[in-house]
Amino acid sequence: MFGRTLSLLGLCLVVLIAFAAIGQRDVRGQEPVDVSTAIIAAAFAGDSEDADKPQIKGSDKKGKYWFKKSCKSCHGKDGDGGEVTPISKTIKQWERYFKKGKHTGDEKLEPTFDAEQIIHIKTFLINHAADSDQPETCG
Amino acid sequence: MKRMATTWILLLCAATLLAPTTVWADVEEDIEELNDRLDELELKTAKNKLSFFGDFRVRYDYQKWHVNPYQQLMGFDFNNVDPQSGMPAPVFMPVEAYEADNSESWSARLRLKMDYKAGKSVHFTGRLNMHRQFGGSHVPLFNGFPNTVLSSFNSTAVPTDDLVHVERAAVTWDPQNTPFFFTLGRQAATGGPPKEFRENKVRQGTPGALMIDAQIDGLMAGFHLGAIGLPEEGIVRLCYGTGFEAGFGSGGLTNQTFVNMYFPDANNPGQVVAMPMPVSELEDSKVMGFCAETPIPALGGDNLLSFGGFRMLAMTDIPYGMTRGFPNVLSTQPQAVTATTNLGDMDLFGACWQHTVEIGEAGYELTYFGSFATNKSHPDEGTFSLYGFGPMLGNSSEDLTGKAYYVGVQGDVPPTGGKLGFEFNRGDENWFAYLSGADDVNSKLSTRGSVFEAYYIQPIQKGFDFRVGMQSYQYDYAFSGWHISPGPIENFELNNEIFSPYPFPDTITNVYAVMDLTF
Repeated sequence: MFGRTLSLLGLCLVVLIAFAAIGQRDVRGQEPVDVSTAIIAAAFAGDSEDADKPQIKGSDKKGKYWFKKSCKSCHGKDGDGGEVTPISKTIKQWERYFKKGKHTGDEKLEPTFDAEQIIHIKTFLINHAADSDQPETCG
Repeated sequence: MKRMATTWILLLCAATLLAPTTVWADVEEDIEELNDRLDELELKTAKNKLSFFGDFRVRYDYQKWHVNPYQQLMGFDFNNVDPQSGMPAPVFMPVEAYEADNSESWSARLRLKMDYKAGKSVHFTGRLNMHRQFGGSHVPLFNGFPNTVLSSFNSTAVPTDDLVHVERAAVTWDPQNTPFFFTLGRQAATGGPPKEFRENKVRQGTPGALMIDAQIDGLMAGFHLGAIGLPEEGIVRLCYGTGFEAGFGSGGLTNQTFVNMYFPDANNPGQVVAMPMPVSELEDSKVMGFCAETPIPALGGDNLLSFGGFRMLAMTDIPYGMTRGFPNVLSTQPQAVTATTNLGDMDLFGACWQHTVEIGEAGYELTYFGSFATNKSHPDEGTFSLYGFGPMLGNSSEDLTGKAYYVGVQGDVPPTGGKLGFEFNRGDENWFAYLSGADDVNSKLSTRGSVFEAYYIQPIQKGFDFRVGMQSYQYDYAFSGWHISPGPIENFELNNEIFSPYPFPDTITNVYAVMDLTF
């Protein structure tokens, strides 16, 4: 009898863990919400990846400003660090770059830029990455 | 027992010694496998010369027209021929005001964007489009609007069949270490600024949407303004294109070619009379101009000032194209129309200012824009369209000036992550711009009157969104979008009872819903 109860409890635990894992994946670290709320929220929240982003909304314009101001001196056309532009990497490659958070070697991005600047620069680089939608003009 | 233990110890030592070798062998194997995969990828990348991107759009439209009372052309009285011109007298019948709607119209547009880098300084871009009207309406029915003549300027803007058309195909040569670049081919002359905001796209073309929105073939020479100390995104482009290739002489074997014009016979309803009309010797029609653009960094945000000027030389009356119900109004078959006359030149100038600013700490965006353009006709005296559409802007003896403006605002809607936008444009009675490739149902920016539009864009995920909107057209004059008019445009003010072969609406309400996927 005791063994059966224990098995049942174990099963419940597994189900709970499974739901928790699914919930964790769906709401991405936000406060737990019920499934219907999650679906409605997801439908009206725009890009579901937005939930991954920190509280500060990355700004394309600010990112462009900081990138030009701080990066272009070394990473311009004839810069010592070699030319770097948003199209130097794909979206995924930029995401991996910022996940590592390292500039060159073991040098971290954080002391050179503050956390907010990094968010803006990341937004700019990802928005204009090699596989992003590029403007079309004559030439 | 002791011997057995010794054997076990020896085996254990051997295993311990061999372990790193086994691990190293595994790593080597992994590296080898990775190398193979990398080789495969490199080979694929090297062979994959062309990158494909694109988008897919499905659109629903509801349209309601209101037509003021007018005098409908019923045909011509061949018993009453003007002895001087030899033309039969037109016969008209009054028509009461009425409303008509198209409650459901669906279309799908697939655009495949191609990109190939031939080297550091040469690249090719192209765009292939299929723009299909649901239900197999392959050739539009002529209703007096320019986008109901399917031509090479609008073949991908007007929804028709499931054929893929080439909207863009151009090679750009950007010589290293010079500020110059050159593009040759079918240019990116559709969807220019500020049209990208309501389309929720990145910029899609070069010339301002209020001036040129049509597929144009030609060549372009560009200059980066960064070379002279101006903002590095600044560019000046000189453009040269062909609007009509006349071929040899008048396009036929002789310099005098006749085309059949079909006149409905007012005395025999349901009958048309074909009258051969001489097509004069046609000249090529060309366009030349410039486009300049630069951001103004001092004003902050994301901004762009763009302006341009064009001269369309020896404009023809109508492009080569396909339509139904014209010129033979009784035929249900697709019919070809072609240029019959060079009418003169037309100038076009315009400017656009667009600015996106961030509001508050959260960085929500607000975009506003304003665009203004003006056109001026230089008609060749005494020329007129043999299709009965008259001279340039309805007057072949006088230069006429038209003007239009286009303003709009778009802002983030924080609770939903969407965007809400409002636009307004107005053109006067002589307003004309080359907008036959605009993909609105009624080419709103060519309206001689005013148009109000409201829309809401709801992104679902990156590159996938829904848009709903409403356009309210208020036409003041007929023949919007045309550079020709059967008579002085004042005679076609829609508040008066105009004499016309087509029922021109005075108001149109267009409600639409769009699903757009960018890939």
